[in-house]
Order: sequence, then C-alpha cells, then structure tokens
Amino acid sequence: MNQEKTRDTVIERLCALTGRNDITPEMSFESDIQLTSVNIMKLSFDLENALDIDQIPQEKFYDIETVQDLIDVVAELV
Amino acid sequence: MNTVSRSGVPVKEMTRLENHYLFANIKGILTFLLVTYHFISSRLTTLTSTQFTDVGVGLVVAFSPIILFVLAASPLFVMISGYGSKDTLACRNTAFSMYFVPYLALTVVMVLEFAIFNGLPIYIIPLEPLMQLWYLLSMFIWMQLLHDIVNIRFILPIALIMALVNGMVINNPVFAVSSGLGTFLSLSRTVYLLPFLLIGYKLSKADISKIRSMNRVKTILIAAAFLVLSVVLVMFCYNNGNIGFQGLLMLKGDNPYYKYIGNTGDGTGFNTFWETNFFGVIITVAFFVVAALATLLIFKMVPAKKIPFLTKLGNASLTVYCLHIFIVIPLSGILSSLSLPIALIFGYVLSFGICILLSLDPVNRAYTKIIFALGEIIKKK
Repeated sequence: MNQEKTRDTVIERLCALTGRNDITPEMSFESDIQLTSVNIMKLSFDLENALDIDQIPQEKFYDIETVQDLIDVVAELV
Repeated sequence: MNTVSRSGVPVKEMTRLENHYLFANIKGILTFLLVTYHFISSRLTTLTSTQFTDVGVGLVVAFSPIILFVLAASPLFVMISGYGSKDTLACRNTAFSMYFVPYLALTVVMVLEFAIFNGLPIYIIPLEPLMQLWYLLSMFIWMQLLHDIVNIRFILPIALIMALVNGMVINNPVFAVSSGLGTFLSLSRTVYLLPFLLIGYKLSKADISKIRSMNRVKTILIAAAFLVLSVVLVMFCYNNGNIGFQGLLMLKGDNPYYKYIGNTGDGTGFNTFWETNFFGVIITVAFFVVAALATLLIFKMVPAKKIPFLTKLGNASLTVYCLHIFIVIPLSGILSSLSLPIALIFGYVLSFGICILLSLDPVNRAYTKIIFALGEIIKKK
C-alpha cells in the first residue's frame, strides 16, 4: 500500500473523528488537533480496520508532533 | 520549550509524552480511589452521627485529609476531563458515542444486575442516573455545551456562583422546585462541578509545568494548608450540631444543604433556612479551596513518567470507571458481614484486583470497541 493512500486514510479518519474538514499533514497535535485518550483509541481502531494493520501503541500518539508524523508511524505498520 | 515563572525563573515545559504520563498517572490514582470508595462506601455511610462521635476525635482528625482527598477526587476528575476537552468540536462530535451510548447501555445492565443480586424490582428512570453513571450523563451535557459556554463573559465566576447556589435550590421545598431535581439528568452535579471543568479547560501545559516547578517551601505550605483546612472542615461539621460524616456527603453536590446540615427535627443541624444555607455555602467554599490545594499537590507530586500498573490504569480509566461497579455490586455483600477494619482492608485489596483486571488491554479495547460499535448501530448512516 502506498504512502499516498495511508496519508488519505489518516486524514479522512481524523476528519471523521473531529468533525472537521480542514486537516492537513502539517497540523500539530499540540496546538491544532487535541484528542482525548478515548478519541485516540477510536482513531487507532479506525486506522487498524481501514488499513488492516497491527495495533498502534497508544503512546506513539503522544510521542509525535504532527499529522505527518502519524502518517509515517502508520506507514511503517502497513 | 521553556516558559518563565512569576519570579522570573525559567520553567522547563513538559513534552507531550511526559504530559500524557502525568495525567494518566493522576487518573490512575483517582480511579483506584473511586473504586475503593464505591467498595467501602456502604460501610462508611452507616457511620451515623453517633458512630462518628464514637470513633473519637483523634481518629477523625487523623482521617480528615484522607476523607477530603477522596471527596476531592470527583472535582479533580472533572477538571482533568476539562483539560482533555480543548478541542471542543471534536469532543462534541464523539460525545454521543463516548458518553451517551454507554450511559444508556450500562443503565440497562445495572438495573438487571440490581434485580438479580439485590432483589430490587426492575424499573428504569432513564433521566435519573444510577450510581457512577451520572458522570457519563454530565460529560455528555458538558461536551454538547462546552464549545459555546467557554465564550460566555465571566463564565468562571458565574459557574462558581451557580455551584454555590445549587445546594440552596435543589430539592428545596422553599423554592417549590421539582423534588427530583437533585438527581434529574444529574443536573445538580453538572452545575456543581462545572467550575472544575472550566478550570481544567483553561489550564495550559505551561501552567502545569509552572505548578510542577514550585519550590519546596511553597509545596510544604500548600500541603500544610491542605492538612489544616481538611481538619478544620471536618471538625466544623463535627462540632456544629453534631452533623458529622453525613454533613460531608453534601459536598458530592447532589443534595440540598438542608438535607444534611439543616435541622433534622432531633435537635441536630442548623436551625433556620438562612443559617443552614449560609453555613452550606461556607462549607462548600472551604471544600473548593481544599480541592484546589489537593489539585496543586497532586500535580506537583505525581511523577510524569511511565509507572507500571498506574499509567495503564490511567489510560483505561473510563473503562474501569464504567465497568467496576458491576463487580463491586455482587462482591460488596461480602463486606457487609465483616467488621469495619477487616472490611476496609478487604475493600482495598479487592479494589486493587478489580483495577488490574479492568485495565488489561483486551478488556479496555473490547469495551471501547463495543461502545463505539453500539454508537454506529444507533446512528443513522
């Protein structure tokens, strides 16, 4: 599966979760998108199902800065 | 990134991961306290005013900070929920699945469990939450409103005044308000704890870093103030009208002041309407100050690093919070047949076991998956 599809899926799932449609890879999880721990788990389930990947450790979500970092983490699992 | 404290000293700001560990650890501590409280509360509430006196002043003084810390756990939990709700639109978007769906589902399960284990009749009052489910309903209401509430001018002082007035008007025949308002939609607690949600929402990572960089003298002063005020508050209840432990229960925010500290007809409590409400407000303000001091202490003292069991428990706090009562209900019967000290020890041990069991990854993931799946089934595509 290519990087582009992973990026589209991550952004699509983030948009669905947050109810926004302006999410870009440059956005920061510190200042632009702040997710609760349960929302992070929901995002993790959605990505695991959509991309058929292994479980994403929850701590990974706190060890990254931007949406692009998340795309990279997910891409490694694909 | 570094910020500067009021005294001009540079403050090292926590990373996102450290921040996550700190909040997970705090939630872990609070979750354990709440599970334990629910286990032993049936024994504690049997401590009537007379038994409170029998316990002895020395023991009352010794346990005052612990009692107050447990009572402060709810406001602190709500404050942490507020801190995690900065993306108000995202929170509103998932509030239905995260809070309302489990509220409905767990209400049905709980009623059935009460019928099976406690022999209670099967009836559901959907608008009156059972036991700990008030938090789910209050969170649902808060998350729907938070995006707009935070834009109201002077919302924090307004919320504080509403929280204090809450104890005067709920269920109070003087105001001829519906007798169900104390529990109806958990509105009383939603109003009572709103200031804590707002404080949490307004708190930034830089604020937390500043609290954590407090020097030893300030920390000791805050700890001393917490201990002294806790003892003063408990002794005030103890000495005024022999209100005792029951008087502290009004600090949970779902009952009017007069129910616990007003004249009960047997010569205890405050006598007039105004006297009751005046002291109700004083006790509540003192409790809010105690809760604030407890918050500062816990932010300062809890480590911002991964701690086995505790961090895991904090990460699974919502799952443990929602599910623990289903284990506690059938097991609490065992405690009622034991002496108080043995029951307390047994309660702590069982609570520890329940926390470990419910915070296991498979349990946490299964609960979250089921709840979100239920939400998907209910929602129109």
